[in-house]
Amino acid sequence: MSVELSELKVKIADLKVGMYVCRLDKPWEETSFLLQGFLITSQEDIDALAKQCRYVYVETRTFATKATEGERRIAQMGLSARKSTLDVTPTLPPLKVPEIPDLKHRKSYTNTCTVEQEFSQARLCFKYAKSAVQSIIDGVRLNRNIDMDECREVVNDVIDSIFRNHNALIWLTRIKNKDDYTAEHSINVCILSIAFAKFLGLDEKHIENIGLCGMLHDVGKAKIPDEILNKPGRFTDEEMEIMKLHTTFGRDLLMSVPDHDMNVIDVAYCHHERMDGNGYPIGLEPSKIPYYAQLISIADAYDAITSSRIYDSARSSMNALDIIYKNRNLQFNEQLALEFVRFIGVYPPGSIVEMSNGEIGIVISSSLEHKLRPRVLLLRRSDKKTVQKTIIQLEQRPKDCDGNLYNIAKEIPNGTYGIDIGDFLHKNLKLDQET
Amino acid sequence: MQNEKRKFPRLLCSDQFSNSTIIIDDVAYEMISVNFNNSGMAVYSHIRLPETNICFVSFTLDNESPVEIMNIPATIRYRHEMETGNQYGLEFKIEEMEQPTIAKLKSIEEYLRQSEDLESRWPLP
Repeated sequence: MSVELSELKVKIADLKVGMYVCRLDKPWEETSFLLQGFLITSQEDIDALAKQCRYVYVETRTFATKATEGERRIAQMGLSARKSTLDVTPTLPPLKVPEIPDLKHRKSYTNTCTVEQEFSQARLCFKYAKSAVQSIIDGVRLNRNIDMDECREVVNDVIDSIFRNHNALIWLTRIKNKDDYTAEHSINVCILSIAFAKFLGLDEKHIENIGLCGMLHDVGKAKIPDEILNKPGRFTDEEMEIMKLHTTFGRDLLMSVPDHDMNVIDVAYCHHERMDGNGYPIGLEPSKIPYYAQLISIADAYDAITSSRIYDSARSSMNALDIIYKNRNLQFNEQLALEFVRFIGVYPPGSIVEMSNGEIGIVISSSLEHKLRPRVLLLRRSDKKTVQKTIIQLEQRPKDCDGNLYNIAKEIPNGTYGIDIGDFLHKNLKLDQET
Repeated sequence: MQNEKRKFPRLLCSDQFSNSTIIIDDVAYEMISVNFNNSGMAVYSHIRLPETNICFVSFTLDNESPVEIMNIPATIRYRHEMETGNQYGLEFKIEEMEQPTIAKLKSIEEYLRQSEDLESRWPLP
């Protein structure tokens, strides 16, 4: 299966909503259009074109049929295999679609230190990564090129931390700051994607590439006007259509980078495509959605659902996994969605939990084998008074002071009984005692 | 991060639980049923619902003795509209329902509770 992009000259009278205008009959600078290439979202766009042009060029795609197995796999790797009139030559060869072995047979990476030992480095890494992403966004707004070497450096720092112990950075993704949503979301998706790829047992070159894709998947939002991006209220339908353009903006931005990576371009363009064909910007059928875009879209949705935006509030990890599970094979690749649910599990690091005896704690880390019995840092007694910090390892089936087996009763909201995971880390509490 | 705030947590809608049809101003919207208890449910879709908070909901539970819920009144209490999709939290207007309908909602919750895997909320192969 091959996908070809081309330009088609169209008279203004023949334009329709949904067409992507990639070139005019005159230089963009001679017109009032701010964006050099845009999606026609309303008749008003067509009217504006009619006032300034006689004809324009719109982007078209041609899909060849009767694909061979080899062609199908290339197409699954995405648009990186396409022939484009945009004169883009990949600087890196496209990677093969990784096979995901079943749980028992996949490559397993062992943590090299405890979560407590990794926390301080993970915090520095997170802070540096977030500021680097913010600097990329600011640079794009000033028409600066994206420095891919710097991006790779950030991704490699994140990978190093995740390979030492992934729980520390995963915990940090749970602290949400409404004001820095775009940068924070980008780095959270980068972290979640890398940790997920590690969980899937993918090899390191895939993990590095997936991390870069995660970090830059929303870079096109830098081109969305601030008053829409940070609007303190519900988007109008028109504003929502403009928000959706971030995929096209992202592709265009990343294509203009001298040492661009075609997989990263594919993900920026296709991470809102859906398995049922109802995604955007194209509405691709499943076999044509790049594999990395399928993977990143799950981490993207998970972080979006569990994050607060300026105009709404977040939902729990459990709720996000409910949505991902229920949308398997509709929005998300079924195999990847089920693996992601398995990867995050019932009580991810950073969850605040109430024990069956009423004590309150924070989940420090969990392992695949003992998802229901993670390590918990106890912070409140059953009467909710502060207790000396104590870590219990539920997988060892410890008993409380009354001789009853410790169990988690339920997850409770952040902020309950004065426990805030953000404050908790800012106070730099040390996790140094175990029972 | 906001976690589970409800006194009675919602149960995952199993594969026997149909999509929900939400009717707002005589227009029907098909949404994925996400989680449920007898006082409300979460639905999700790539389409956005209008801003109105009053709606009517229909769904079925297709088990050995199917349970059908038709056009029960509900209030949209929560909206989370994202580029990735849109989630809505519905609260059923129990006070406007007949007893048999309330009993049906309770029976659906009971079925979901009994069929839930205690080891994992999400059935994984």
